[in-house]
Amino acid sequence: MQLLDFFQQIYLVITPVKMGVLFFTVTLGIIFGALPGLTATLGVALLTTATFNFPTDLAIVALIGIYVGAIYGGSHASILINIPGTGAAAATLLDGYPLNLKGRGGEAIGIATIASFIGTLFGMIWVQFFSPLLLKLALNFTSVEFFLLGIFGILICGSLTARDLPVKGWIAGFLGLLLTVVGIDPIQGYYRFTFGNPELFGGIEVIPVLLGGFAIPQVMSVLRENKPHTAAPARVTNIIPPWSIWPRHVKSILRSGLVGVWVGAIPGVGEDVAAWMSYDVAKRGSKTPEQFGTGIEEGVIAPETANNSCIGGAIIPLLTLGVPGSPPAAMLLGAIWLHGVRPGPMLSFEFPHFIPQMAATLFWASVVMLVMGLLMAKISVRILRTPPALFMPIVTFFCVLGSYALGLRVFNLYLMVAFGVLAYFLEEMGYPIAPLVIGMILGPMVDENLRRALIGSQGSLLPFVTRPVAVVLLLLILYSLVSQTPWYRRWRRIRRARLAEKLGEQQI
Amino acid sequence: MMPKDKLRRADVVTAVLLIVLSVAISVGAAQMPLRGTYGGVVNVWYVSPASLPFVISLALLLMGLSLLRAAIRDGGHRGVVRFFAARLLTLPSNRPVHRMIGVVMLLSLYVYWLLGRIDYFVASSLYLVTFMGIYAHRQGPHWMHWVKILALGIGVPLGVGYAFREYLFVPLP
Repeated sequence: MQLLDFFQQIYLVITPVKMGVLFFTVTLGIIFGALPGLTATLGVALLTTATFNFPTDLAIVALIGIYVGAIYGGSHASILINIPGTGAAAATLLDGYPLNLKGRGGEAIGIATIASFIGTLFGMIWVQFFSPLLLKLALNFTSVEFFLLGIFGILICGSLTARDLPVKGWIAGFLGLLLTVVGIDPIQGYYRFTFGNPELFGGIEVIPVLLGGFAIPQVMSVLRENKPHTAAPARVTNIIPPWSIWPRHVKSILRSGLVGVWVGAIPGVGEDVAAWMSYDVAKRGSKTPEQFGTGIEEGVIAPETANNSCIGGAIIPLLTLGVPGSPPAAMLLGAIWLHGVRPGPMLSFEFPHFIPQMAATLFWASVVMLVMGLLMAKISVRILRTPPALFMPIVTFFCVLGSYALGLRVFNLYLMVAFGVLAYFLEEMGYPIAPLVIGMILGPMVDENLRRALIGSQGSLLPFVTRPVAVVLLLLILYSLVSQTPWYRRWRRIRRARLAEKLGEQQI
Repeated sequence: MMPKDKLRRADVVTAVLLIVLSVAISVGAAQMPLRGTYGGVVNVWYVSPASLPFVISLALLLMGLSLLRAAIRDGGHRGVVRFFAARLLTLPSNRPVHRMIGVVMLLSLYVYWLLGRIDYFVASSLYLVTFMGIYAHRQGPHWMHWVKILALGIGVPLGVGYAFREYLFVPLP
């Protein structure tokens, strides 16, 4: 039945309008991904504004198109100019650029394109077949589980995205939670932290914060350097790789696909972690790890398969639990809410065709990305010559438009700029923005479910430590906290050293 | 990201600010209804709108203390005042910082001053042309450089604004 619905949805996407929009948005996504400083999250956020008045299914097609295109597009910059277009393509650079230096730049782009296509399809299969199972599990979740899931999402996102101390990631997450507390309380209607300002009665909207947090720091960082343009990319010649390379790397492709999906399912972590983890796993599992970094095909296949399969992985918790698996997925969640669709356990009852529709859209987006990615390989060279000082001001123009259009409030613009400047300084001090955004997205879920859970148990905390799924989530929360302490890390180092010693003794 | 030694000094300051923030959140939350009735709802601590703010305040306090401890352990408490004073003194000669301040000022002027006072298309064109004119490096003849800037600076707001308003029904500021 699910499979039939899926094939039906694949057929329903084939309309001139939807395919036209898909081609346009995938191409736009590739350009967004290719240009350093522009990200998939920003692309999805800006397109949310433009698609606000679209019918829901057309808006989803547009947003998935730019998401898939942008995650893949970063590989063009990584391979051609040794600068990742997006964080998701940072690992691709390690072998992609050396391949380019060997005169195989076009082939490297071809490999990245086909690997991304396979990765997106892999993620799509998981969305279609695993999401309904998770939905059935989520139907047993009560307020207790949703509260703990929100806290776990914020903490794990903070741990995995912090570049400096993990506590900075957690601080960012809880600051995001704090922002959601501003406004009228949803249960009693009390005005919390509004300071008498009517503009704050409705709370702080996610989109201006997201646009400010992701766009303005990028604009400030890129224009801070006085560079005329990014770099001079090399010429691209042959882009179709030999077909014989694919059977050699089947194991790597499957492994990278799985890594991508699993990392994607972790709230807020995203495609860049998936790519790095996949590269690391591929290197460790290779018989010739010393060749990684010298320009080998597997060094491009592993990260590119993973970062695109991560899209499907990130969509799974988004649809089933209302918890986004990556920053672009967080923006997608905001867009879905705007169109009146409420992801979560009730999705299969309220919108029974939504999951197959999403999977079908991913399928077509991957096909269009394959076609446009190969066609645009030679055009990317011209795109990458665009001076940042010309397109960065245009990005801020779009952010202003986007922040205003969704709430029709000038106050949102003031918030966007103020928050953007704050986000720049937070990033300079090592605070990641992704947990902050995740905190804002999950804040209402955490707030309402905490109080509902306690109302249900009349103030008792017993359900938090007796319900099975709640106990698992509590243990995961404790693990995500304890695993970042110096004592745990020291214990793991000692344990690994002892293991290595034992193995060494056994070999002797 | 800043180098580690400078980062830890900044961490000492941000940790203290976080601790102050957590205290401020607790004070604000304590003023929310914790007992009696509000809005027709009988209040107990777990129904109170203050419950999540208190949780956040406690979490930020603990994390602020942890950050302070980590910063002091790495020597961040030494020479904090000297560090910030040195940064302020080098400000007049720090060109990257000037460029950054310029970006913020241009964006702020556009958002906080121009929008709402003059027509949206005029404001946006002025903003884009000025921004690109200041930051874009000249490549090729002078006149070609300015043609490009004027074409983008005026064309983008006109084209995008028109498309958004007429075809996508997205309202403009």
